[in-house]
Amino acid sequence: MTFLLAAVLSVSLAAVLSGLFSRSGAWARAIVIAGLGAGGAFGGSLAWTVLHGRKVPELAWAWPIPGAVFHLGVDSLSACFLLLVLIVGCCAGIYGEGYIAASRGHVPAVPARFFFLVLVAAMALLVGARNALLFMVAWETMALSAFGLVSCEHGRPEVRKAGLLYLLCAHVGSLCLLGLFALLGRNAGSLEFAAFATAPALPAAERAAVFLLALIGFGMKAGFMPLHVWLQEAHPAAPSHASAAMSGVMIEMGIYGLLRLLMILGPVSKAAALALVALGLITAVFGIMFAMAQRDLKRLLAYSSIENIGIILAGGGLGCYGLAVGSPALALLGFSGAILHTLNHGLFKSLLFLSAGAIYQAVGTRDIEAYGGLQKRMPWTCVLTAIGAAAICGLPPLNGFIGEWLIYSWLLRPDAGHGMLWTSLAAAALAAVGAFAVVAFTKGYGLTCLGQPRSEEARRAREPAWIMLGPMAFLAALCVGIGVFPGPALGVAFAAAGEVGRIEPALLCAGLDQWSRLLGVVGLMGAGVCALSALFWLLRRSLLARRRVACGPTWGCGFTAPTPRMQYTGSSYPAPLARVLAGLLGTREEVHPPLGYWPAKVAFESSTPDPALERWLPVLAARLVDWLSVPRRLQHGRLQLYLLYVSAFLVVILLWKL
Amino acid sequence: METLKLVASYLTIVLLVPPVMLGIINKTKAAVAGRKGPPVLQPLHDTIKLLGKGAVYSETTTWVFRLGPVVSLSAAIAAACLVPLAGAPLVSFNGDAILFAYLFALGRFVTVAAALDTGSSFEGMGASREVAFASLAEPALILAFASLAYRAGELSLARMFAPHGGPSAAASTLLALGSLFVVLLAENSRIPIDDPNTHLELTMIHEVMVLDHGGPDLAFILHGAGLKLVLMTSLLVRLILPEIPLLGAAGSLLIGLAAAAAAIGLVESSMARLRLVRVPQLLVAAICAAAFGLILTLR
Repeated sequence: MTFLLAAVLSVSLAAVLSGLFSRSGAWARAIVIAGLGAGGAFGGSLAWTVLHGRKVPELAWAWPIPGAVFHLGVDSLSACFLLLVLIVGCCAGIYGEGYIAASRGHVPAVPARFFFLVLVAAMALLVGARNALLFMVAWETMALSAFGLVSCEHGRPEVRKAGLLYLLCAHVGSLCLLGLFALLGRNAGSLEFAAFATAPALPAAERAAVFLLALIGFGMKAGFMPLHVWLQEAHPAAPSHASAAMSGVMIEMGIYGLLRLLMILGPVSKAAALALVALGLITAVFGIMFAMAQRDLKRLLAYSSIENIGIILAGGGLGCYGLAVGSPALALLGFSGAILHTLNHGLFKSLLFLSAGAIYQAVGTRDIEAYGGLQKRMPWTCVLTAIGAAAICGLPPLNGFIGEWLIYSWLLRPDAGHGMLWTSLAAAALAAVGAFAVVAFTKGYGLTCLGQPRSEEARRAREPAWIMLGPMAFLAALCVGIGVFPGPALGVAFAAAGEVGRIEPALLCAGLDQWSRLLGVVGLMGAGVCALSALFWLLRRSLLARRRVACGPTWGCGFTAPTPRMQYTGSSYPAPLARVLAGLLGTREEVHPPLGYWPAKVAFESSTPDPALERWLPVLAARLVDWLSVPRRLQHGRLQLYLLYVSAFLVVILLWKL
Repeated sequence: METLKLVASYLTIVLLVPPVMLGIINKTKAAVAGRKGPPVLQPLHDTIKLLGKGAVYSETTTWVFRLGPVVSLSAAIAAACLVPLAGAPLVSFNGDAILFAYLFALGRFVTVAAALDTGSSFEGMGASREVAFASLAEPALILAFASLAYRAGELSLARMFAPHGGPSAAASTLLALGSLFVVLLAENSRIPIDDPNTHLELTMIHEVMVLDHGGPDLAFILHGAGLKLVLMTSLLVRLILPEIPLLGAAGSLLIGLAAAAAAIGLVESSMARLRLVRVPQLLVAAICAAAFGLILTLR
């Protein structure tokens, strides 16, 4: 356990030192990389030990705060998330050094470094916390450092707005968590997680309250629909390496919290499990639908994070359902699907955010309509983007498919004796999500990297430095590696899933055996596709070697003067599907058609605002203001009356005590 | 030895059947129209001719454009390994149906990327329509798979699409079959959803995406598309056609494929392409049919 402490300390020390040595960029860069490297080495070796089945003694120090113990422990679930924090943290941190240097003062170096390292340290501490108070301290540190990152470039008004919104949402979530731990703590008489587990069962009403508070508190961080309102605003506002860490790991801490709580409190009811699945699928469908409609590349990615969180939640709900009906095999499958998808999402989403950052820096805007043709100017970035895009669509030789395949296998199991109709409909929803993801990411990748440049800036774009490409390449390699050899990742997910569902080791081993064999075949098929492609590529080359290969302009169907502006754009590309989904998306269109004999001006504008943020939240807020208008009369700003309140209160107390 | 024979018959089927099937479709259409039509083996000749040709690449394109045909053909061949073409599939496991669906999604992804790589408004249009319609076809496919998986007790294509002894009258099978047929037409760019014979009208989908390909690339694309058609049709054929005695599994499958090709030819000759705005309605109807079929299966 000292290793976890050492990891947290080395990263936080690096945070402080990088602030102190900010004058010299080279020193600060060395400190950041050394700190992250040391943290990665310590934490990685700890996770490795735990995941290999060895128990690590817990660490408990007295803390001079009532109810609190500085209690750290790492089990398979913690180790799994710790691994994710460290992999993404190290990659994004190293990339961040290149990003800050290349931004030429655009990204303020000191806060971007300091808050990022604090965020990583807080998340590493969070997964090890075994005391509610320590958990809350780590949770709040995480939330506040993320606020620091979101409002890094606070010169721009939209960034300030996003930061404020994030801060509000984070605190509503934290308040719910405080309530949750207060309820549990009162029941158990202690704030230790171990005490929660052994405490007498809560009464039904309180249990429901705990479930709801956990769902809001952790769901706010994870971004379940409709609690996601901050997500698509905050992630694009932060510097790209911070968005990668926020989207790839921080929101998944919400999932970690839910799983940890589930593990402590034991199975939920069948109805609650089904509600989780339904909520997950709704989140996934809406998330990806809105992703599809965005024209800001980082916003598209942020919405797709909501989608992936939805898939993860659905998988977790399936695991809960398995526990509720008393089938450990189903529970294992559901949880491992969710955890594997969490790991995968962390990898490909941070990869995509990093590449989006590189593209943003090269072109100077996040608007997809200004990109295009980057493949020729930034070949490596675009290859890595392509790998990330294919992985996030859940396509076979890559890691995204593995987790989704597990969840599908749960849903379409005919022998399980559950409501096959509902699970099949859920599988159909998942299929729609997968297909929408192809729309969103062929848009995100295709219109960005392929075709012709749509702006002068895109024409002049240049490849980023190796310090940015290296971490991206590492993440992409992991995506491919897990897709082709799913065994190790599956082992990690199964270990954590077994911990969550409290499944006995014999069953765990049998399940792991069975599924790793099946997934081994899936991986092999993926490798087969790669090998066949290589074969056909060589065949194609040898066929063309003896023939004339010419170059010409793109065939314009008889039209001889095609321009880049004739290409499909970010709004027209998803339009056929958006028309079908018009009722749900609520896309606003403003059309000024050509008028008159010699029409001079034609305009078309479309936008897809977030319904939760733009329509539901204002109504809710207005309602709230209405309700609170009565007590608000007490607060009117007249000092004399305030003094009267105070003296009246004192008199009442005095009389009461007499 | 047994395995070797299986692999050999697989290779023959994968290499030869797709062009022949396309040839039969074209011949049927010609016959209905009162023409003689090209020989049945014409698509095979075309493919061989294309393999021997050079190519013209657009200056806009990159390796993505060249990779598209290669990967989509490889994905189709990998999917072929899961389908019981020659009696038994090469690879079969519980859950391979999902892999089957996603291998075609992989093919679609690379084809769409290749189309967008040209920067042409036509190919962008095709790509945009392809992904939109696939988004509706995918749920229908999964729902139909679900009802078949429930009946078979396993999520593997070999078991789900085992012959059921005569045209099964069960309404659920018919509904699943109907929705799978619509998915087949949509995924393989056939009338009434798409017209495989037009290139330059503004209403087609798949063909316009491959407008800029030529030479070996086009050969790969044509073969891959034909293979996809063969795979999806052979699943349907296995579902309704019992094994004909004396011919064996592979033989009866070939007969069934020929009959299905003629049926597709008849459908294409007897109706026009739907208006594009109607296509989603047809696909949603397929989703509904599959869902009803599922309800009936579970009843």
